Amino acid sequence: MSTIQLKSVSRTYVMGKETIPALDDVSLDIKEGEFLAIMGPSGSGKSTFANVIGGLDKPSSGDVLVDGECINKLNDKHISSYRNRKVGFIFQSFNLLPTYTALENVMIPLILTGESSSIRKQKAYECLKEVGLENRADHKPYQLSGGERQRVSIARALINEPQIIIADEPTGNLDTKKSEEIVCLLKDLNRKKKITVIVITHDPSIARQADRTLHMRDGKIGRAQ
Amino acid sequence: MKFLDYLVLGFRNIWRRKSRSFLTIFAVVIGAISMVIMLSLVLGAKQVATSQLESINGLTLISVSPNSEIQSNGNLLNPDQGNIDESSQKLNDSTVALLKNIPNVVDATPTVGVWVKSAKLEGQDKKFRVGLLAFAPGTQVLNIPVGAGRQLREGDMDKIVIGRELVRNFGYANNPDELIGKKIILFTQEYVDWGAEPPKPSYAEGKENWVQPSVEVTAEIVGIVTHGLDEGQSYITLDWGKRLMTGLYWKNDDVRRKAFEEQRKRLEEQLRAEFETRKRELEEQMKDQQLTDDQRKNLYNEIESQYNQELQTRMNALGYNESDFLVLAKENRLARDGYGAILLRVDNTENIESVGKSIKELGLGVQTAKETLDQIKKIFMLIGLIIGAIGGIVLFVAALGIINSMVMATYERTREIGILRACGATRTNIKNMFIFEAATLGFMG
Repeated sequence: MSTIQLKSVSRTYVMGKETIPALDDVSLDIKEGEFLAIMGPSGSGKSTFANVIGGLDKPSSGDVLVDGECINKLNDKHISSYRNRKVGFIFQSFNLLPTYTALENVMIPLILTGESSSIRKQKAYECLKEVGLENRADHKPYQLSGGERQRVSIARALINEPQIIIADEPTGNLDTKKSEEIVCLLKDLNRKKKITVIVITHDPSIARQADRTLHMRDGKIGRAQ
Repeated sequence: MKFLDYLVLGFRNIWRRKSRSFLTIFAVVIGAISMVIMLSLVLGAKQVATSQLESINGLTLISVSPNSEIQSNGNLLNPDQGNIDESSQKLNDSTVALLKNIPNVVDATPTVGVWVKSAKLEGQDKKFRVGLLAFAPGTQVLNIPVGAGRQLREGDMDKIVIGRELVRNFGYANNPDELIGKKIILFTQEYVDWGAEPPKPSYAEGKENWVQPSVEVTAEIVGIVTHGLDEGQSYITLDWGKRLMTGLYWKNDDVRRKAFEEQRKRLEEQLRAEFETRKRELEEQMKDQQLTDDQRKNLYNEIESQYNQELQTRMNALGYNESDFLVLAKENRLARDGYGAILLRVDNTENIESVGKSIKELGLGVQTAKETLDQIKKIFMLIGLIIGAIGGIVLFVAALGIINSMVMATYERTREIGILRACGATRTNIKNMFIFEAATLGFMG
């Protein structure tokens, strides 16, 4: 049974009088526990694809089903809860809150669910431990290296034990060595926790480690490998 | 998301941009303070205005002014007297008697504002402005409540009950009791029928010149009015007020001068007749003698000068002196212009209206406490509205400050909002965060 199903999903942006198709009639099944890589040139719709699956964006037409539930029909409260509990996001630019410590950044999803502060701290600490940053808990993002920052954001993505991790060019700002570490981490999570990982990347070496690689061009999914 | 978390987040974000938040809060503080100050000023002033009426039991008072056209100025004790014109009537003792005869009128007292230039405490140098109101304390109309000393009594001359403003000016705000019995010097612009007489001039200067600079009139402080009454107003008895409003000046005594002139004329005629006789006798004697015209002329001139000399000597014997024809005259301006107002005490508030109506029928102006209260309310409502509007604008500007601060914050933090959204924040979560932050800013202010 597949966890994520896209049924002829299209997403168009209106810029003035022009309509730009970012996703063009994409249909796709992603299996539970799959490590999926998506490649493609800039502007091919990769990020839109990730955002639509992650519930950050809604398709103009078509449906996105996650565990049989049509997420594009959920209201704001439910889609937010979906993002909070089922999805973990990792971004190229880490997207950490600069004034918060690593621990606090990891806690954010729990703050939003209204978890008590002791549980928050405990869980966040565990997640930091999982990415090997327990001794950096009280550092602010500017005191961390790029790789460490990305690991903090992975820890944040993990805190609610999501079923899906969407990583939008997670290694784009990192050197090769750090990139490998991050990919290893993602691979580990995918294997050990059976988390579905969708990685958007330009890096073929990452794509090679994926169960499946999709190429996107002009909003369409190309051949599967 | 928990309430506490919103609060903590709000505080952190405010703390993050300390200086901007401080300025915004400062604007709110200024807005709120100015609003509060202005409103409390209005309320306080209103309180003062109405407490004055209450302390003199003003609800059964009617103030009668000479002119029915005069608009109520809101001050029952010292109504605007307006311009005296053909439609105004002179308020005099017969008017007082007339008003007393109106049914339900208990008693009446004329009042008049006595104008003096300034006043100082004996032994001090600084002069202060003073407003004097004269009324008849023996009547059952006005009892000026005193906080120290005693009230004015009928027949009190050179006694004064002073207002709080003077007490403060004299420097006795903390120990007003010590002022009782002290002397106050009032400066009038002319010699009045009290105290020193004007120095006698050598000749009549004419009425235009009878105004003299700063004449001192001394009075004893017997009482100090209570809080709440018009602080700038001091009180004296009507009897004394009448004396202070009577000016003294020297004028020609026409009767004496006329009598003198007549006496002088008679003397002159008598002398002239004597000399004419002598001249004729001389002519008789000179008939036979041969005299030149010049000699004759000299002789006549001699007789003429003898005549003049004689006249002068006799005149001097009469005791001629210009200043003898001056007498000290009084001008009672109260009798000339009438009283400023007449205060009536009515037996019951219910009868105020009917009494007021009968006074209006006499063609006089009427001001009652009710009108005064309405007036006060109207004035203060207007002031309150204006000030409220100003305060509102100030607060609105402060609110704009908060809005500006928050709008900038949202623009600055679109990225942060995006992160929070990705972490599962609902729109409501985000909205609440900003609302909490704005509210915190507002509350801090």
